[in-house]
Amino acid sequence: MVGPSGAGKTTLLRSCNGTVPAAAGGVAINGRALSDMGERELRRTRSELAFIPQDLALVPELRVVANVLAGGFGRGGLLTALRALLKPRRADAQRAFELLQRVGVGDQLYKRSDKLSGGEQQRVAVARALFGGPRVLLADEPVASVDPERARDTLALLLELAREQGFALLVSLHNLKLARELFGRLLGLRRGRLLFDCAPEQLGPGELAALYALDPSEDEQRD
Amino acid sequence: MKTSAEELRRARPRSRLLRAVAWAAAALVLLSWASGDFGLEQLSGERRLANLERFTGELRPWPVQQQGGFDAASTADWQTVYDWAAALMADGGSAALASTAAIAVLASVLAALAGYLACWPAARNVACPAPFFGGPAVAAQRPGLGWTRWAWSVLNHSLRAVLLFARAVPEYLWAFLLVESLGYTALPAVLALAIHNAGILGRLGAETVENMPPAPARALAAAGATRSQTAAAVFPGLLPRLLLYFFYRWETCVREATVLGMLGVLSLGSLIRDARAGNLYDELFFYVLLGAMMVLAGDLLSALARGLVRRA
Amino acid sequence: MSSATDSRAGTQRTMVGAGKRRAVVGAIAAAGLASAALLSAQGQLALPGLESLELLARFFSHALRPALDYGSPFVPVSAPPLLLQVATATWRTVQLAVAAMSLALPVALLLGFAGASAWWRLPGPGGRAVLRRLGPLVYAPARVVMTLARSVHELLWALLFLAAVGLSDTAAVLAIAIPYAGTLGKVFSEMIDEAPRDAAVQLTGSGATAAQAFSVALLPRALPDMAAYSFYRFECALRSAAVLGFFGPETLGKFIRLAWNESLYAELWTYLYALFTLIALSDMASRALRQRFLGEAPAR
Repeated sequence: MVGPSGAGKTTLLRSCNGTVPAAAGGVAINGRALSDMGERELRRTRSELAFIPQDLALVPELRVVANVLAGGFGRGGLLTALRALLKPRRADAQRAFELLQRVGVGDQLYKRSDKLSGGEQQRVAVARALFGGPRVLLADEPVASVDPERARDTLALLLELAREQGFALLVSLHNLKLARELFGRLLGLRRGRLLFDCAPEQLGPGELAALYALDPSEDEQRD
Repeated sequence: MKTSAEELRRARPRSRLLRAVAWAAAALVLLSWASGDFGLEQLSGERRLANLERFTGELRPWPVQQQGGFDAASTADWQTVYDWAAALMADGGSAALASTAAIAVLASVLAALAGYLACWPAARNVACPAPFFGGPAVAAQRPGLGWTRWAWSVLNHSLRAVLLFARAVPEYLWAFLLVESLGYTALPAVLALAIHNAGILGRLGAETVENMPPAPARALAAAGATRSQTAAAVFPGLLPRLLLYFFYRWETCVREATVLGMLGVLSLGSLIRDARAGNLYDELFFYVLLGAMMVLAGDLLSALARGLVRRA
Repeated sequence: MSSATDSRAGTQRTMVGAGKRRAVVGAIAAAGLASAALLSAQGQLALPGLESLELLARFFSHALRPALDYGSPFVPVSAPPLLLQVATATWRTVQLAVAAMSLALPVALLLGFAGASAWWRLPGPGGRAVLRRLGPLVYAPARVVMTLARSVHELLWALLFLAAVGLSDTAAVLAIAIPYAGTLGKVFSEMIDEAPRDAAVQLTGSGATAAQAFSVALLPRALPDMAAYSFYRFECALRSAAVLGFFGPETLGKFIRLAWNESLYAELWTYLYALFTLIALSDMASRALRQRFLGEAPAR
């Protein structure tokens, strides 16, 4: 999903799991509209839709393991949460460790989350998303704050994980070049509207110009 | 490279200080309860319970006690209570209320004046030979400043000690010492509150000065501004925070001003003390409630003012 | 163009802000002057005579010579050595403060959680409808209890206990614990409500219940501030415990009053330095902890 800032990428991602209600139209998952779901069904659905926000939203005061385990709260109650906080079950900790190792930060399992670097925190957020065993992973600008080399690695990792664990991946990106290079399907968004939905090879210069064109009327509005 | 979560768990970083404090706190609590004489029987016992019954009975206004009962539906009964309260207010109540408020306001203003003046030389990044450039650590690297460094350090440390002493002694204790020597006027009460709170505001102000963003002050100091010029220039930037602290302290000044009267100064506290001395529990209760309402009003006003400062 | 307008608007806003601040400062100064006028009209600010200043001078002149032993010839033989007496009074002060805090803290935690709005206003599935209905029913009474408890000063609570059942040590503990529970609870609930919500919202978005998000993503964020504030309140409890000695319990305040009444200024300073050391130690300990783990100094 590509588009200039303010295009509505984040809003669209957030409406996918129902944290932002859709202003028009609706979101349906396996034929069921989110807005029709009761609390219990919504909760079960959400637990299969992992979401990585741009600011990661880790709890900085907690150890990494508690943050990773938080990804699986959708399947448990308050007790699960308190256990994750105070004394994680051995099997859970081991699974968190394996996921962290998979994304390359296994050794940080028991560090305080705010002691980690930005790149490491991002990997923890990925592990948290994976811990719930998602069927869809929504990632909002996962590479907005990392250098280009790291950005490619992160996206490649997400794609690899999607293939390996069989979940669908929906990513919003600023960087069109990376998107064309790595992804099989592109959605172009601008000012809340879908401009195109196609494979990268089908993308012509006309669509690109429309996506990033400076719009005089828009600037006047801003003034 | 650790290979299992369990190994990592055993090697997890744990803070010795945090655990030591937790154990010390637990031990202190156990020791206090075990060695202290805090039995519930101190609150019961036949004589005490009888006393308690009399006490709670006499909390009701005197006319109501004489009448033998209170009918909440009767306007005449309410009128009696109102007359009783109005008589208490006229008979010193409102004067005490006014002087309590005045003591609190004057004391907190004086405390702010003294504290926010003292906070500059009490800040480590100001009281050093290279002010606003990161404090003594940086100053230490500059050669040829031997005795000035020493002088600033002496000034800084002694001022901090004075501020610590001022706030370590509670308001009530300051007031006791000053009332006994200066006489039973509002002056010692005001001074007592001002001294204690100047100690607190001085410390908070010094922390604010030490934590301010260094760039603007550095630019000024580098351009040749003196210490006081730079301080005056950066002061407006610190003002919102200092005002927040002021209003928090003002709240506690109102609380304390009500009780300082128990030492004999005219405030709600003196009426409370007199009522207690005369076993007039209904009046005692009335003045305690009046004080509580005053504290609430003070908190409300402070919350409004803090909201104004935050939004400004 | 647009950035220039923005910055102009920004300057204007800060200028308005500065104007408001100046108004607040002006109001404070005016209130201070009015208070001084009122008090001096009542004859309450009269400067003391010379002899009372001499008394103060005599008191302060002993500051550098605190007593290490009794100065008065009228001390009974059975009395413990002065320094032991000071140590005992200091320990009684600590004991009272610790006991009061250990009662106040659990109550304040309960009241603080109940009086926060975050636990029933958080978005997210999982009994939300029940919580929303239950929330105000728990929240409002908790707030009222906290307000009542803290708006009466601990010395007034002590006086009420004194009149009702006598100021035993237990009553003294309760006199401190009741208003402290109210104050701590109020500040705790504010801290919980002010904690950043991003992580909690994120968790509810991936299927966590509001209760889970509250306990894992909200409470841990407020805890450092709550701990720092509790340490500060402990310091206050030490002072309150010392002052309660004026009303009976054998803490530092009692001996300070006795020493003053008998004009034993050197002994008085010994007790004052004991109190000073106590407060300074707790101040240093809480600062060490704060710098490593916790937030800024509490201002409230």
